[in-house]
Amino acid sequence: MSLWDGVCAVFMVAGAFFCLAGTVGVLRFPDVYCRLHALTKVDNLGLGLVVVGLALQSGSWATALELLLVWLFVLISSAFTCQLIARAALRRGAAPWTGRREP
Amino acid sequence: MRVVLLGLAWWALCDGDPSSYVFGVPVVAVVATVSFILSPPRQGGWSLVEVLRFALFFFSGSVQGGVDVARRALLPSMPISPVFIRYRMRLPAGTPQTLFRITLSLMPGTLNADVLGDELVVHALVDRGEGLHRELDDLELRVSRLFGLRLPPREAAHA
Repeated sequence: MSLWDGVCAVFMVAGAFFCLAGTVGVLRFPDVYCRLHALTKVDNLGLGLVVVGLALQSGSWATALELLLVWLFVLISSAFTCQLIARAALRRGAAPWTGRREP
Repeated sequence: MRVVLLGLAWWALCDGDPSSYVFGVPVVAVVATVSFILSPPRQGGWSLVEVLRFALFFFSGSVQGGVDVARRALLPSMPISPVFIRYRMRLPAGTPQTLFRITLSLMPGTLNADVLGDELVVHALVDRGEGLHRELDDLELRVSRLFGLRLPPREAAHA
């Protein structure tokens, strides 16, 4: 395994870690609105890191660009879906959790 | 510019295989035509410096956003204090507002939940009071610079 492979592996493991953290957020956060934060932000970062790792590993500019496009479109669609879900929840009157947990 | 970007996208999708151009060139031409019909080019165009600056800001913001939420999700104490706030947008309707809402959803701690005319309903994971409004103001300013627009001053009622 070369140093290059190692760098790619670091990116991909970090990406996997963030995907896991996003899932933990979905399970732990108290209401639908907070869960959306975990789904959009954390999973996008996780996917982004995996994409970077794969693009570095691909060895071809075309494939790297293709992966980046995939990420960009997932980014846009997840931002939109998240907004649609939040709006639907609001209009159906899903009560937001209003507690406060200090660090 | 759009034709170049579409060409690049096709090249990427086909892994740079030259035999795909027989099909790719017509596809790029058709898609570019449709794209110009659906959204005619704006006056003024883009400034590359502004686009890069915004991309950099967006990139670092979304990394921060991801790290911040991940940390809150994983900490045993789970320090969150969610709150809904309202924010009156000063950007013109259309693409600037859409871009503002997308980026806002990926910035640390904020999420666009609903739009009522010019007013946004924003869900924040952590209640930081005035700081939230300042961040949204800053993001709106950056989006307006990207489009080469000037924001109207905020009315006193909302200060």
